[in-house]
Amino acid sequence: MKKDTVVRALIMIVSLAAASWLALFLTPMQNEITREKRMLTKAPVAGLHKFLADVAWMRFVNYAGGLATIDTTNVDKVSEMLKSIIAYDPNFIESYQSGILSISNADPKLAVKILSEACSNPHLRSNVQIPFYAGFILSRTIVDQNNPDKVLSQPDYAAAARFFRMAMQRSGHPEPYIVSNYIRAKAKMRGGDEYYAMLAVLYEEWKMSRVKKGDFLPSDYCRIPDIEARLMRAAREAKYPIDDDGRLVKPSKASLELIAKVQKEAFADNHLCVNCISPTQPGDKFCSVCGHQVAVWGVCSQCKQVLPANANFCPSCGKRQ
Amino acid sequence: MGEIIAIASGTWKNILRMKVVYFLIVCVWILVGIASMYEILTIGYHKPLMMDVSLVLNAIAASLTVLSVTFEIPRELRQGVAATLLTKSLGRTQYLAGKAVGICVAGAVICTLIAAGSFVIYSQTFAVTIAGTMLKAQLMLIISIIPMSAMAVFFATIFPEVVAPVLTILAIWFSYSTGILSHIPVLYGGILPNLDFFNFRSHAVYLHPIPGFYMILATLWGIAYALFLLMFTSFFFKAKDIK
Repeated sequence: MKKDTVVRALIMIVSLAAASWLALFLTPMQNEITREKRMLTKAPVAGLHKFLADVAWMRFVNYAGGLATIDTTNVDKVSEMLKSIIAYDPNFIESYQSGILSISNADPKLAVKILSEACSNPHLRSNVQIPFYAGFILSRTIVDQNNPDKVLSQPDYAAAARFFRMAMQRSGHPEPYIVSNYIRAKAKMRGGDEYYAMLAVLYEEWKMSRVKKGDFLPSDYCRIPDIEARLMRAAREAKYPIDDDGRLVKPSKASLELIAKVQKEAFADNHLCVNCISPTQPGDKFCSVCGHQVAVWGVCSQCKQVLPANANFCPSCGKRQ
Repeated sequence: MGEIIAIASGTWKNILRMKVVYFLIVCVWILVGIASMYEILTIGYHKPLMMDVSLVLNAIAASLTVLSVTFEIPRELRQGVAATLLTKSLGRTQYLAGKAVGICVAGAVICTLIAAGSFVIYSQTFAVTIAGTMLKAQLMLIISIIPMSAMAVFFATIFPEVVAPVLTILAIWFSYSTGILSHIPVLYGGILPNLDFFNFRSHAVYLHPIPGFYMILATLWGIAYALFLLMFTSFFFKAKDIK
């Protein structure tokens, strides 16, 4: 065999071995970098997935834009278009936020299924809207627009609460509407009197927020911002509930007991009016909201002048406080 | 080495001398710029669309550049130009290597021009700076020309002028889908190419990072694979009767 042939064969074998060895490293690295590839369509499109997703999106916008409404008569075609977009590009956020939401009134189960899959997409783990939309769809009763007697989906408050909680956990400062929906879903899960349920949920959340460091917390716990303000408002609404016609009704016995418990445990130092649970100001003798007599606070024990915040001495008489 | 450079130089000069190349580059720039008009049709998605269009058109330009050698080699063989070259001190392996290097250089120049123009259009249209990920994605695309050129030289050497370009395009198409064979070590990434190693179009659009270490490994893979395929081709070329 000529020397030249041997050298070429050797180079060929060495380079083949090197390429195979490098591929062994590259493949898991690439799988880690492009985790969405597991969710991509296996159709051979020469790596043009992203571009085909863009084209499919434009076709969807063009088609859906020409429809008066998306209902049960045309939702199948719209869904197929959205599924093809997601198959080409699972990270296409607009297809979830605009596209899936547009089919939620016609095929809520499919909408929730797709949004749920998107929630487990690692590249979308910081997106707050996707789990919120899933929870929002699950917390409503959706009927067929063409046949109102046909219910397309019943509320599933437990699942809705899970998605709302996911949305809250993804955001460092969850938006108030997400928190409100989460609390409402948990209250609906309890059932019964709505005002009592809201108050009970917020009271439980408040108790969990007081747990000391190192103590056990449930795995599904999610800190609610401004919990005390919400608790106060819920207590007030539970004390003066209104019916569907807007008329004031008598609160239930359980509600009153819970309100008393909340006032004693959560708002002992908050100087609230016991009647309407509104905050009072230093020196107030009567509540400015309902006129009920209140315990006076924040005044000098000697001359009864209103003291400034954190005062050590009275500015009027000089008495040490 | 000098012979390889000489062949390569002739190859890339032939390609870069053609006015149609610059006409096509300008067409690509125009198409990239047109993507900015799709704001309404994409509901505000025209910015990622422009980046994606530039990457896709650049990939097509790279494939077409590589495809030119599938016409050139059979033509030179048919017209006796190759025979004339190979009667001198130039070896057959050097000839193939020169062709592959020449195509790589030509493709790199064309793709770099397209990428640079696209970046200028993008940054001017949206008044933003180009992200590092976008540059890396374009760079990976340019590096993918290395294994592609070796594939083109392989088909151009073995198959006639009519069949070679078709087979090359099919092979490039197939190379993006060999990931399904990733459990077979030597076959996948070894004998069979995997151009998907260089495909980061979605990363450029979503600005997901591309590690530098991965890029280096992918480049090394491209060079190793091109070397393997060129040596493999040289066995066939050695046995080929050139008049």
